[in-house]
Amino acid sequence: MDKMDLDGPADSSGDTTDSELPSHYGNAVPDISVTKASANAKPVVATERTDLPKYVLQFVLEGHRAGVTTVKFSADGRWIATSSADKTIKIWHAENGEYETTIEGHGRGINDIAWSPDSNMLASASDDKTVRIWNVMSGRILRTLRGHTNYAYSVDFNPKGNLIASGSFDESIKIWDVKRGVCLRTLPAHSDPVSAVHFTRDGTMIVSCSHDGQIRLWDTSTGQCLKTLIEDNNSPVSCVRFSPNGKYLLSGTLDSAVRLWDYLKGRCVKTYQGHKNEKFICVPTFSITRGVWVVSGSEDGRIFFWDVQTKEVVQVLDGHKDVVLAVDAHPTKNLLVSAGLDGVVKIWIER
Amino acid sequence: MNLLLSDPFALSQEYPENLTHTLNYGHSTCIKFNRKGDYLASGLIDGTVVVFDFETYGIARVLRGHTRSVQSLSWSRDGRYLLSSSRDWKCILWDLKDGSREKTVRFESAIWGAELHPFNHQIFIAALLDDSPTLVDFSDNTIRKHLLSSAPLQKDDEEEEEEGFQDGDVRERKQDKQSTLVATFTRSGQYIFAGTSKGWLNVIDSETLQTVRSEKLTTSNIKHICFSISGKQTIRLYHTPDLTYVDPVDWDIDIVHRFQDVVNRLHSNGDYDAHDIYIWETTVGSLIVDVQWDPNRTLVAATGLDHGTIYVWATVTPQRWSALAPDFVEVEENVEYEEREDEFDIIPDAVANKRKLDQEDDDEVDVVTIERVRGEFSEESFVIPVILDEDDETFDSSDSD
Repeated sequence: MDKMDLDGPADSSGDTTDSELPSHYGNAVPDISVTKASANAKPVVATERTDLPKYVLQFVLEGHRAGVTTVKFSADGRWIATSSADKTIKIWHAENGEYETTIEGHGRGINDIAWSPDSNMLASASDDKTVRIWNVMSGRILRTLRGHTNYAYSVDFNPKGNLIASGSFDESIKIWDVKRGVCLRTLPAHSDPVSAVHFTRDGTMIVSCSHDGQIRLWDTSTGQCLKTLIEDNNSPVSCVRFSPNGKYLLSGTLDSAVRLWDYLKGRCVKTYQGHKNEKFICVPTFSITRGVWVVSGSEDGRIFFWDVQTKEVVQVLDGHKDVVLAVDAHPTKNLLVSAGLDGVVKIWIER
Repeated sequence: MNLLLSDPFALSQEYPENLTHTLNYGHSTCIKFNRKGDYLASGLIDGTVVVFDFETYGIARVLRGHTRSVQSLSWSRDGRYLLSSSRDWKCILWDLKDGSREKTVRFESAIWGAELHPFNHQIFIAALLDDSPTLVDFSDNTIRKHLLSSAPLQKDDEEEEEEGFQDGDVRERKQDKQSTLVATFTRSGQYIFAGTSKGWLNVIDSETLQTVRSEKLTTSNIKHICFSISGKQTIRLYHTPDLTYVDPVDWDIDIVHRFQDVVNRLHSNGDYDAHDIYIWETTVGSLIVDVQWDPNRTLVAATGLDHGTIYVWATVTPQRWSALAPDFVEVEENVEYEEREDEFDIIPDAVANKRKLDQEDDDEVDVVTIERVRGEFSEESFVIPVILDEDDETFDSSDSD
């Protein structure tokens, strides 16, 4: 149940049979042929630069009994929250990887978690069709948001902390009032499961993406669709989020590419390739504490870093034995946390 | 940031014509938006002050403290403090971070209204019923009250008795005693505009507390003074329904327009906006007590006299169908489509993708710097923290679309 030091994980949590995991892990998307794009692209590995990231493994956190689906740093940078298919959320210290507490209560595996902006509350979306709000310190449940008719896939707090957006397998997005726990609006967002939702830093827009290959931008206060983006090959988009300044979108698609979109121009401005992502949801993120990198996990157990401008692969981290589903960068320090189907959470540091 | 993607022409010409929400919490007598427009404070007839969150239309804070009906509300600039004055002769400054009372000031008579200084939440001006208007300052933990004169500045004879300060007795010999009914700070906080029961407007310097200018505007009471955002124009509302729009450029207080209220509304308030003053009159049955215009959106909130419910009018924008597909564009009339030279060329996927990837290399992307969007409210505004009590779980909500 505790963290271990660097010498190799003692392991029972590594194997997860498909029968334990909710169905969407194994076969969320039927057949997608690998497009020629990924076969062609030769990621340039930069070797002559001196400002490359040099992350090394610092801590290994064990305790989850099934694959870990999401890992998130709190907004104040003190905690790490991990959610898993074993229906629990675990809280760890960000500084030293020490285990803090476990939050239980969902009926089925948890797909996504989000911290409130004051770092006191966590929202979690689960296969039991509910979104729950928890008090982190006491572990007690504050609100249960019911309304989705199928798995809840993704959840996000708005920057003010009074709204939650959740995306679901039932193809809709719901906006909830945190204080009263009621659904304020349902957006008929897509025609396939909604795989991710994210608010801009001023809370006025929500971006969502889906297995139908579309990325849509919504106005929070009126619920209207403002823009739709789609890539030519229609491959399912597994995750999308706003850049730190809210002007670009980062999307991960199941054709082994991570794309950066300028939504005002309506087109993709950068494509990052080299990793493998065809079946699972590998969440890409930005790391901006020193150097601006795009980080993503891959289905071969590795973690890739790309330079935002040049698209070169600047570092590859090895260490997981199975698909790396989630990565997150610390808001102020050079820390990275990663987790995947092997149930192990790893903290990487760059000194 | 949604302004970047919205249609600018659709935004600019809309009036709030649809009743979108009704807020029912007690009987509300007075409402006020904060500077950003995302919170609305409402004072109830039993003395409670309720703060509504206008993103969720739910209640953000309930502030209990007054024992009689709330007379007026005033927000601090950053939105963290709220000053309420009530018929129980007290003014309370609330800290919205947790709903606690920051300061309570007791007066010797009933209060018409109290306004906070636009930049300093520790100074406010109160207009009292049986007393002179008072400037209250509690900057260094002591409550200091400065009394201001209600008497207008005399410019012609009587130079000897021209004391800016007090001495209602002296004045009484010259003219009938008048009381100040409303006092408010200018947008910069440098002057105080005070309206009296005899129709005089007194301009008082807020540092020296001397009356620097007086002007007789009308013969009836001045009930309400309100400044426009730029601070240049004001509206005054009189006891007989007659609104005046005045432009004090270069201290020449000229009456620029006079609006005559068609229907007799004795107790109504008006908000400055030259276009839309009459919109609410036609649609509400009962008498309106307070109308407030949201400072940043086309949205109006009004309370009715009978029930005290707050009615919210806003614009309803229709769905823009062109946003649902990436290459749809809404056009006014049919456009002839002209094919490109290479429209039907067959390019093998590999080559097409390589071409696309090469084009990307030229773009410089900046994902970190934050740019201000023109038209958005960009000042720091206090966010009222959401406090969920653990006791009131089993808010087992259901889909209430």
